[in-house]
Amino acid sequence: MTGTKTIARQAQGLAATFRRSPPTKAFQRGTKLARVSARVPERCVRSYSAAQVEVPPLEEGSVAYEKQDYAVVELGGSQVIVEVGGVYDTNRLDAEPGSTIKLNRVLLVKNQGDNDLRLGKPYVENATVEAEVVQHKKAKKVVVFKMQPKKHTRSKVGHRQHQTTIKVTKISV
Amino acid sequence: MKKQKILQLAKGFRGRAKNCFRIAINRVEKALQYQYRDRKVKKREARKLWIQQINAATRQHGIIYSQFMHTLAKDNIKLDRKTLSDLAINEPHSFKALVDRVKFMRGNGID
Repeated sequence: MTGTKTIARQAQGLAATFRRSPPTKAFQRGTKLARVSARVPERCVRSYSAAQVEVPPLEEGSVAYEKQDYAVVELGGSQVIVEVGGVYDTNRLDAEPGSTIKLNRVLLVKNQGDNDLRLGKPYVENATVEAEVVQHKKAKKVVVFKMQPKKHTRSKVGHRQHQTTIKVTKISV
Repeated sequence: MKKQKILQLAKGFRGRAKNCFRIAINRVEKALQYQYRDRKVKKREARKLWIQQINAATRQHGIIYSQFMHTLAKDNIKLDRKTLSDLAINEPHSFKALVDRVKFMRGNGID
């Protein structure tokens, strides 16, 4: 495709911060005792069904991508494209480091070997992604500064978001 | 103590604003206000970029962005624009499969 390189160059700027993140350094932090709980928001309609999709075969002479299987998962209020072995940051989860988590809301699963793509409407049936909680941490500090000029008002607050690093171990359908 | 913190935040500023406290404090306060505003603007700009990328990718396959998104919504496929643009860039064959699905649903009169 001719336009793909231009699109990819544009993506380096803003979109780079939103793509799959590289592995993070692992260091131990204190953890709070927690219970694993499955929190499902009430407004979330859990309907699982599949859509018929056919992935077109690679053309003669095209570059064969040797990529891993991936899945699109709802995590922390946003969608993340995950691969086995990938490390991702999300909002703080109720789980101890070292425990395993199962992610149920899977929107798309691609099996590269069989060239098999499953689209969920909205979620794929019986698809789960298993992940291991690596650590809990806090994000870099963000300074929230508000002021009105010439009105003698100002406020300065620091904020560190609580996050959890998870490592995906298995994608199953 | 406070002066050092302000001058630390003023690194890279132009002229005396990086060296002299009385000038730096004004520019640093402005910079912090811009950061607050732009954290919200960043999300808007990102969405604009995703929409442009999806539009370009679908037009390569002969369908336009508005029809594509409308059909996805009707079909109850809830992939968001961030994921769709990422697929269009990195997984072109999967994206083509999505576009084919959309064309199939439009052909069957889903609207």
